[in-house]
Amino acid sequence: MKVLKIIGGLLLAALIIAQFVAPKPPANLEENPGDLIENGLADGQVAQLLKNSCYDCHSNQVNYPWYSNVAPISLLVRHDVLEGKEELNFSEWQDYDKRRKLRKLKEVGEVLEEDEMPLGIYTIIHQGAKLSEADKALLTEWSEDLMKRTMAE
Amino acid sequence: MKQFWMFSPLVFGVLFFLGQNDLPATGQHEQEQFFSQLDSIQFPAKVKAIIDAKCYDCHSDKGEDEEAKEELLWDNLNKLSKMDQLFSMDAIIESIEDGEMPPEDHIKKHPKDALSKEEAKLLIEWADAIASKLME
Repeated sequence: MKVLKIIGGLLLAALIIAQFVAPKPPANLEENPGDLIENGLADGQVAQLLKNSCYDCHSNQVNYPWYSNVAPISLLVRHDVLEGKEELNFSEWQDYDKRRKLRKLKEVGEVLEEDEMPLGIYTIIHQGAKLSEADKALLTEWSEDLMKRTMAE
Repeated sequence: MKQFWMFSPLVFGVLFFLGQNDLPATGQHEQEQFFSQLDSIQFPAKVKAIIDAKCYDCHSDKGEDEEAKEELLWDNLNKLSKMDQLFSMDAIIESIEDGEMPPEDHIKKHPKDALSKEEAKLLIEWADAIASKLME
């Protein structure tokens, strides 16, 4: 019993210390002049779907819930957001050159088709971010259309 | 009057060009038209040496990682559509720039497979030149 108490105490102490030393998820940016939606490249329902199901990792405007700042959850959120933004950042869309825009759009279609995105670990908690077949079809159609528009630029 | 007819091919050409631009690029055929007809991707000796030494273990038929092979097979580049060639070049550039390739865990086991700054620059410039040519 005493041993359990010591272990419990140590774990609690570690958890408290972790709140101070563990790195936090990346901060949001207020101004995003290169943002995809701000630049009118997606609107209406498509913009809504992107914000709701993609922007929590692939933008500078993540909707962080309070617990995303609590270690050890903060570490998982930090990892996924950093990696997500490196792979594709809709808030910095206009910084991509033409060929990269085309490639990112093609990859949007691929991850939707293969159900790779949104990540399962994310939709478990954010049930509302799950994409229906109709949602996926709409996003795929949008990405193909934007590819054509980008090519014609 | 004579001069006017001399310009007619030019006028026709301009009209034709404008007409072409109005066509929506829909199918594979139109997509291919968007890209220049780069004959084939060439590998200068210096580039080939880097690829063979540092990329080929995974990104070739002898590789054991299916994901790596799915992403890129150097020997298949010339069999891809122009569009996929462009995407491959862009992915090569981005993965080297972001330090994603060669992967960290691979370099831990095989430190000699790390790309030097010069090698990374050479590969990026090579891929960039091809990508630019494809988009001309």
